[in-house]
Formats: sequence, structure tokens, C-alpha cells
Amino acid sequence: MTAMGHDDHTLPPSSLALRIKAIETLMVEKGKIDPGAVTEIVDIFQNKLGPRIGAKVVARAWSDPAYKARLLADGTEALKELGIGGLQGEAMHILENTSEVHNVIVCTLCSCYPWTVLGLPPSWYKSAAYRSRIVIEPRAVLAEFGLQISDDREVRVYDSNAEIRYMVLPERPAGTDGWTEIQLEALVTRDSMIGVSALTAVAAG
Amino acid sequence: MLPKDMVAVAVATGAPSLRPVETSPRFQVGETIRTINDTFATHTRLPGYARDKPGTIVGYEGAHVFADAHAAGQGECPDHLYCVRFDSKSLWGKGSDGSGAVYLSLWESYLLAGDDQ
Repeated sequence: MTAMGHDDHTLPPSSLALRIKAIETLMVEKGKIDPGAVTEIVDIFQNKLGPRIGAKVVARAWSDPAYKARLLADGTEALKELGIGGLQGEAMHILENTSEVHNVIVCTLCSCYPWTVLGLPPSWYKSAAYRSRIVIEPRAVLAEFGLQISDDREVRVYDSNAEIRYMVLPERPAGTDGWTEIQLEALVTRDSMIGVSALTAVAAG
Repeated sequence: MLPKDMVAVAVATGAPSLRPVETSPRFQVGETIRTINDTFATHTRLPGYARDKPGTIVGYEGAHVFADAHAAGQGECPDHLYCVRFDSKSLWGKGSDGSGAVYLSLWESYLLAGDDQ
């Protein structure tokens, strides 16, 4: 019997990674994509876009009632004021959470997500379980995220099935009066802007 | 082919699907509708759970490239797009887990007037 060490070979990549590599290689060889462009796209979505952009928008809306009014009336235009717009954020609605209404976003058909304000979606957002269950039993799913919604509060699930993208404006936590936009921004999480968590104030730093 | 130095511009510009159309929208905000009951073997943006369901028009989004036609290679065929609210009870019956609603963006061709029910 031959002793086969595990340090003389590496495991092959997953079949999904291999398939993507094969498709990418073919597309480059056929002249359909520029490999430098692929690197650039990955860099933008890994390093330049992400939920800190959305957090700035939320902090601005909490601090400036006139801006908040514009944001809720026409999300696309109000985001442009902050220099925010582009791919997968061409038409945006901002959904305000209140004591009466809790909003949450999903894409049941695939994985549409507001890239311009939140970056790329977390993997659970793309899972079949989240996409199928959140529309049917949002309270049960939100409870699994640790968020209890009282019975007298309406839950609105926005299914991003067409070209409109949504972001949730979470409720401003109590005890944050007088906080600066920078302090507020630091409180805002990605999940609160998807609508699967609420925010609580921590001591102002 | 998108060259490397155009990527940032393309990401910042996006690909808006809003289009001008000659026709006026058939439905007004506040009207009740029922969705069509058709199944599609081809690409569609009408989720199966929302077929043949009563809903209420709560917003008008303008006319957008009709994804079903576009995916089938028939051109953009822009059509009026509405924000439609479906109460949880009407979608899920006794399976509904409380007060709530699902909101969908639906093209006019998916919608029948509430009177057609």
C-alpha cells in the first residue's frame, strides 16, 4: 500500500469556481471580455462600493428632515445629490421603517440588490430559503434574524422583480439626539438597510 | 467589448431601463387589479406566487424596457410599470403570518382591471 501524503498535492477548486474560470477563459479567448476589465469590476465591488455608502445616506436622512423628505419622495434623484447612482441603482425607492410599518427587501426571482448603496448582496440574500420564505412568512424569518415584529406592525416585503431597487431607511435609535452624522453613520448596519435587523444605540464614542 | 478604462464609467452610469412611450398608463394609483393567470415557459418577471391574484396599484414607475420581450430577443418593447401591493392574506390565505403585504413591480400586460375579475 502506497502511503499518499496530503502535502504533495492541492485540492482542485470547487466545480462552480472551475466552471466560472472555464467560461471566463473562453470569453477572453474569443475576445468578448477584456481580462483587465474583469479585474477592475471586481476591484470596484470589493473595495469601492458597499454598505458604508448606504449608511451615509441614512445618517444624512436622520439629520436633515428636508433631505429625508426628498429621499422618500424620489430616491433616485436624492441619491444623485450625494453623487450616488449607477449600475443596479438606476431607479431607487427608499422605504421608511416606522412604528407602524417594517419594510424588508428580497428578490424572489434571482438576487437583485441595490449595488450603489449596499454593494454586492450577502450570500444568504441569494439563498433559495430566504427568497422563498421571506414573502410567505416574513415574521418567522425576521425572528430567525433576531428581529421580533409586534403583531400590530405591518410587514411590507418588497420583491425586486423588475428594474426598481429598494433600500430600507431604518428607524433612528432612541438616545441619539444631538449625535453628529459621523456618529450616526457608524451605527448603521447593512442588515438594517435590507430590513432584517433593527438598530440600537450604543454609547456615543 | 468593454475595455478596462471604461469600466468605472459603465458602473457609474448603469443601464437605465426607463423609456419614453406614446401611450398613457391604463391604471391609476388606488385602482384594484387582478394579475393574469398565464404561465410562461420563457423569461418573465411575474413571479408564480403572484399569478391570478388581486392587488392594488400604489405607484407608477414610468415605462420600462419589458424584460419578457427583451429576453426573448424581440427588442425593448417598453411598457408602463406599476408598483402593486398584494395583501398577505390574499397571497397566502391561512398561511399568512400576520398583517403585511408584498410589493411587486408589474408591467401593464400582467394586469387586468379589477372589474375583469
